[in-house]
Parts: sequence; C-alpha cells; structure tokens
Amino acid sequence: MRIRSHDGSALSGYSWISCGDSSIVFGAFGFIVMTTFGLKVSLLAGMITLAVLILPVITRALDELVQTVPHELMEASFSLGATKWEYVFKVLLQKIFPGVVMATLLGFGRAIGDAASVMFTTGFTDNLPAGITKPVATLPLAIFFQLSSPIPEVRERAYAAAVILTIIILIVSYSARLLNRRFAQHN
Amino acid sequence: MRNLNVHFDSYHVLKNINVDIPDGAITAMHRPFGCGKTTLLKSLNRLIESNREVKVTGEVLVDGENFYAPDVEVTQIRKKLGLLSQRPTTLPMSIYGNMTFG
Repeated sequence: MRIRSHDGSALSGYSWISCGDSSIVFGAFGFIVMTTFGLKVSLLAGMITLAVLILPVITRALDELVQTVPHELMEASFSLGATKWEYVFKVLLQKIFPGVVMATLLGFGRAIGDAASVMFTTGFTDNLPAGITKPVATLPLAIFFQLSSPIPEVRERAYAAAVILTIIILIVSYSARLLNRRFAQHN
Repeated sequence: MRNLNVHFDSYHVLKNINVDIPDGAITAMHRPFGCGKTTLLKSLNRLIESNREVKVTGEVLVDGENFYAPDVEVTQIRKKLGLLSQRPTTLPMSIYGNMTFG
C-alpha cells in the first residue's frame, strides 16, 4: 500500500502541478464548469471552485504528513492482521489527526481569503443568499466591490469586512500553528 | 515450511527452506547478521508481500493449512500467526488497544 506523492496517481500529479497555480486559473475553471453545466453565478458554483482550489493545498499537506509516519507502524499493524482500511482509520488517522485538522484549516484559510477564484462564479449581492443557487458575496469580494463605492457608508462596510476577514484568518492561522506544535510534540 | 524460496527481484534470498517447528515449543534461530532471519519470519505470515519486488514460492503449513494457497485470506492468517518486530512499535492508541489490535 502506498499513499505517497511519488506514486504517479492522477490526484497527486494534479496537486503537485496546481498547488502553486494562480487563483484566477481556478476561477476560469469554475467559469468553464458553470457554462458547461448551465449553472448561474451562485453559492454552489463558488463552493465547487473553492473546493477545487483548496484540494491541492490539503492533498499536498496530507501527503507530507503521511510520509512522516514510520513504515514500521504499517508493518506492525499488518503483522497483527489489520486490513488496509483498519490501518488507515485506526492507526494512520489517529497518528496524523492533528495534522489533518491543520491541513483543513490551512485550506479553509486559503479559501476564505481568496477573491480571484470566486469573482466569476459567486456573483455579488448585498443580501444573504436565499439558496445554494443564488448569488452570494464573499468577504474579499465585498471588500473589492464596496471599496470602490463613492458612498462613505458603503466604504466603511468594506473596512469592517476587511477587519472581520483579518480576524478570521488570524484565528485560523493561530489554530493551525497551535495544532502544528502539538503534532510535533506528539511525534 | 516446505521448499520455501524467496526472491527479491533476481536475488535469491532464501533457498529451499525446509523446517518443522514443533507445536507449543520455544524455537530459536541464530545466524549472522543479514543472513535472512527476519525475511524468513516475515515470509511465515506473508508480511513480506508488502514489498512489491518480492516473489515467494513453496509452502508454509500451519495446522495443515498452506498459508500460500491462492484462496487464503491474508488478514486471517496474520490474525492466526502474528509477528512482533525486534524493534517495538507502539500503535497510537491505548495500551488495551495495542494488546487487542488485529
């Protein structure tokens, strides 16, 4: 069993190539998906785009984590009669769990702060979306659009959104760092 | 073990091993470093198959059952014949979990 980046699988190849890609490329990809499947600008289209955006981030982080797990652990599990899935869920995931949460938080941090990838796909509205197929405003897009308004009150909302976004990213980054430290101690 | 042969690629590591290990007895093996003791032990419960380049022929018979028969479920034979490494590896779970794993 090999869960490594050098296994030549399509997913690992995709994650290695696209991890450093510009967000606008993912936005363009989301736009192509929308036009192909007849989706309008919506929360759903934004979710799909952001999922594709953070997939390589999380995959690469998990890949690095799995490589830190000693081979002896897998051998010890198999030698006692564990199946592949028992090893993955009962041993491997237990071992790397703080790292999995950390990778998820990193992906979340990347997604919540990204503007370019959702520019073509989510649309923009001042209201909360009534459904998954309705347009939605992400915080970076709210900052982008409202900051260019000539009305001072609207610009103030953009500043408020910037503060909220900064606080959220700070919390996420700090949590990821704490978990990273805990993971390092655990190993 | 009957005519057990293990190859790593073209390298013939274990050659025609024929050993009877008596039931309920402590059996020890001593040979120089690198002669294939661990490889032999890993061949018993097919743990050696986690290495892709390995090829094993012959029979390992436990209670009359050939562990290398094509219809044998590998995880079941490992439950029957466990292997503890010389270097202890603790699984990331409780002591009870470690004792009862598998």
